[in-house]
Amino acid sequence: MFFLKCKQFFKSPVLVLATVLYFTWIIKKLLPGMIPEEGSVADAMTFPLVFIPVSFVFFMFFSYALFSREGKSKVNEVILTCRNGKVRSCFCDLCLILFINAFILLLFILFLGLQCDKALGSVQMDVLWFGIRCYLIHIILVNIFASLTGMAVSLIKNEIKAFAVMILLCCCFSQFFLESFYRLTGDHLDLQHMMDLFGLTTRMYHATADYDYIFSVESVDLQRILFWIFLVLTILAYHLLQRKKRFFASCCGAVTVLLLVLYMLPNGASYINIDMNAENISDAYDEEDRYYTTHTEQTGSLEHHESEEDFKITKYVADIHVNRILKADVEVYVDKPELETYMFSLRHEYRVTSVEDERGEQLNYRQEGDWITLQPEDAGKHSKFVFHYQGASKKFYSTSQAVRLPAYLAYLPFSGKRYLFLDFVQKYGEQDVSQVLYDGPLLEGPGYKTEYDITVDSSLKLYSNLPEIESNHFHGISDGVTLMANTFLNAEEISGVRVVHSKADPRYFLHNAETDDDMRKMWRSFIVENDLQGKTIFALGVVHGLDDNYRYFGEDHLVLMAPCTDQYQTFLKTGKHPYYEELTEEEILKDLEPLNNITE
Amino acid sequence: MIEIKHLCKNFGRKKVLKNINCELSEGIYGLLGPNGSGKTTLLRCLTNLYPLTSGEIWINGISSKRGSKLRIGYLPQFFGLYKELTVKDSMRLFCNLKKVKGSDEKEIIEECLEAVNMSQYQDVSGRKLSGGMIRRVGIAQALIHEPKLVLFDEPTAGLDPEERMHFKKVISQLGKKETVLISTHIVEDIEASCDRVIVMNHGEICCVLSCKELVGIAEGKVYACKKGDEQQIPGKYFIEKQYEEDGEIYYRILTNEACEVLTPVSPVLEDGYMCVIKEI
Repeated sequence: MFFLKCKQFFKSPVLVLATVLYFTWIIKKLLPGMIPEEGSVADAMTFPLVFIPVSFVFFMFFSYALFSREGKSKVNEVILTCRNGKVRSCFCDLCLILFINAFILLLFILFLGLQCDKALGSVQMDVLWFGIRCYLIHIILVNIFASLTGMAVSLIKNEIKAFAVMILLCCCFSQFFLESFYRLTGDHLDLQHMMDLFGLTTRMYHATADYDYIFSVESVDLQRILFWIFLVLTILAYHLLQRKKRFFASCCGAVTVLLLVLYMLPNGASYINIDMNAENISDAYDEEDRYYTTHTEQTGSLEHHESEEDFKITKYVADIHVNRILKADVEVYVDKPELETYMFSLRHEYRVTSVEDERGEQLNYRQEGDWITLQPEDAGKHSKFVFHYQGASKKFYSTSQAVRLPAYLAYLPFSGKRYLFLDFVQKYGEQDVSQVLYDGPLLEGPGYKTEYDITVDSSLKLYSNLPEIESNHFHGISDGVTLMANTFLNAEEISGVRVVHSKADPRYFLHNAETDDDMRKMWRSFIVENDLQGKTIFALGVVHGLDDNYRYFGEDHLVLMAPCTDQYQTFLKTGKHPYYEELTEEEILKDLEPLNNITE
Repeated sequence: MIEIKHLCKNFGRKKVLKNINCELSEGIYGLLGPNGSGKTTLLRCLTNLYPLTSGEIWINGISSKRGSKLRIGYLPQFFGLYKELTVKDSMRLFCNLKKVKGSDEKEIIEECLEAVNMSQYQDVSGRKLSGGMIRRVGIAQALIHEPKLVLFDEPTAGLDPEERMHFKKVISQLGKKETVLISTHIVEDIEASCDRVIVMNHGEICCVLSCKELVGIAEGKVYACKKGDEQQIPGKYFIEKQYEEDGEIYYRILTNEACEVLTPVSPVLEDGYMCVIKEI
């Protein structure tokens, strides 16, 4: 029957013409990328998203035309009298649509393969598989939803009404509708999140992608797309099935409700807010800025505060579970059991649920911002505390898709009360007005060597500066632990140094280098000049579309964006991170000299 | 054997079928009734196209609620073909839908098309066929899977006299082994081929009779009278049709009241049917 349906399709001039035009448009758009001068895996992943709105409209109308033929030709009544005739007939038409989608997918894979070949020197299967997954979820599933919608609309017998419904649906799923709604709702994030259900065709293809973590809201996206698919399936099951239609419609309806509930869960909301709005692509950064600016407004500048550290941690034994949020059970061994008060620093996004002592007894604790205060009743008897906490940092993510936990981030409790952020005083001219502003996280880890035993429960392969004793289980002594994972992460040996980097990052190693070899030369010279043999370098590129200038210089590893000999040498000489390039008055005047000459 | 028990079908508040009770065994049945009497609805209920409001249809001892596997051939009142497909391809599609074995497909298609005199149009696309030709393909598709129950809804509408004769031959062959139900308002079709006639009116079965019995109902009730003389008939009468004879206009009248202006006429099936419908 499928071949007869295909034959029927090829003899329908309007459908064939529409399909030819659609494919011509896709090929025309993809063609320049298929013969690339420069390749970019990340761009290849995100570029096909531009096709979503047009594909959505095309498949809805195409499917409507395909499925409404039966009604028009009056064959419908005979088909309905055949056992499961309507379902089988519709299934064959759907197969035709799936076949067209498979062809589109093939084009995208070809495009990705050619880009991948150019960017990485060869076509890599893991990149291709990831690409296929992304295309399937973000493009093909949306096309299937559009096709099912067209099929459902074909149940409306009046053509004018059917077209009106389809146009209305196209409007509801358009960028214009969502933007208008966002403007109307203002700050009501819950309402906006609810309306994000309609954001299937408005994936932010124009926003710079997160190269480590492309499609970071995959699970939420999947729930959203499947919600719509099952909603339409419920309608179709009720109208198309002849037997047990109530049962199947109820099943589909139940799945629809379940998916809606999952979508509306708070975690889903926060993820989608990061990713779905162009303005919020840097939301993670802004949120941190807002949090710490408020903090400094309340506490004053860091200049007036000193970190307090009365004890050190001798050992960490951590079980970290990584999924939609991070959940950790961390045993902390302290060197001074006699203290009455212990202060720890843990990033404020991780909420402590309980703290126990070595006997498993619950301890009272107070968590305020980045600080946790423990005042055990039987002071002087505790050498170990067990922290249970969970949470998600938007900027330093740790999900089932990617992990980015650098050593300078307090994802494990650091000893003492520490200011985990930098601030600076902004002075305005000669007036005596100043403002304390947040200036990024403190790029220092615990600051002393400690034994770590860390197990990460994740399907991802984790990379760390610590030796891996078994899969995702790290053990060793270090002054800080970095944990990184994502689909594209790869470790490469350059001049005796293990360099961990993302294959998908087009700017990986690209600073001041035109070719791959140039880049490796630059790194080689950086490694040799700074005598880095035996260390690990996490060469991380762009996150959330913003240049991440945060570097970490640990004893056994470095977290960098690009080779930075000057800063590293300054760190080695001073023992401090060169946060700002502090210029003397003479240097400023020297910089301004050419400008002054022109003015004269 | 098909048993229809207390079948009711409502569309909203409108009661279209009211307590239908009937038994159909092998043979050809004519379903007669005026427009809106519920003929098409009854056929659609038999094909499971419409869910029943109440009552049951038993096919060979199995309730239709439990899903009878009886092969039903059905020609709807408004049948069409895919314009893009040829007659042969359309028939292949129907074979597929009706689960005809692939190996038998070619032979059966040829047989069925031959039966309706459409063999020479096998490669003609649906858009080039006339209404009558489409109707013939419709008859062929209803027979393609050797059905045990065949339901024809207005099968001869749009067929020329020659094709009507051809159709009557086909169904008379079919009626020897299977149950055939022909819904029509063309009484001549029934007269020539049906064993029994079911007369429906206002959603109810008025009677199930043989053709002879139905004709018998009109015995002594059919008269001819000159135009204008009908006003002298003392009781209730119904003018069936008007015709011209020897330059004079006559009416064919159904009535129970004989009088001198009326000339008795031999009844035909249509007279019996009209007597039932008009309750004369």
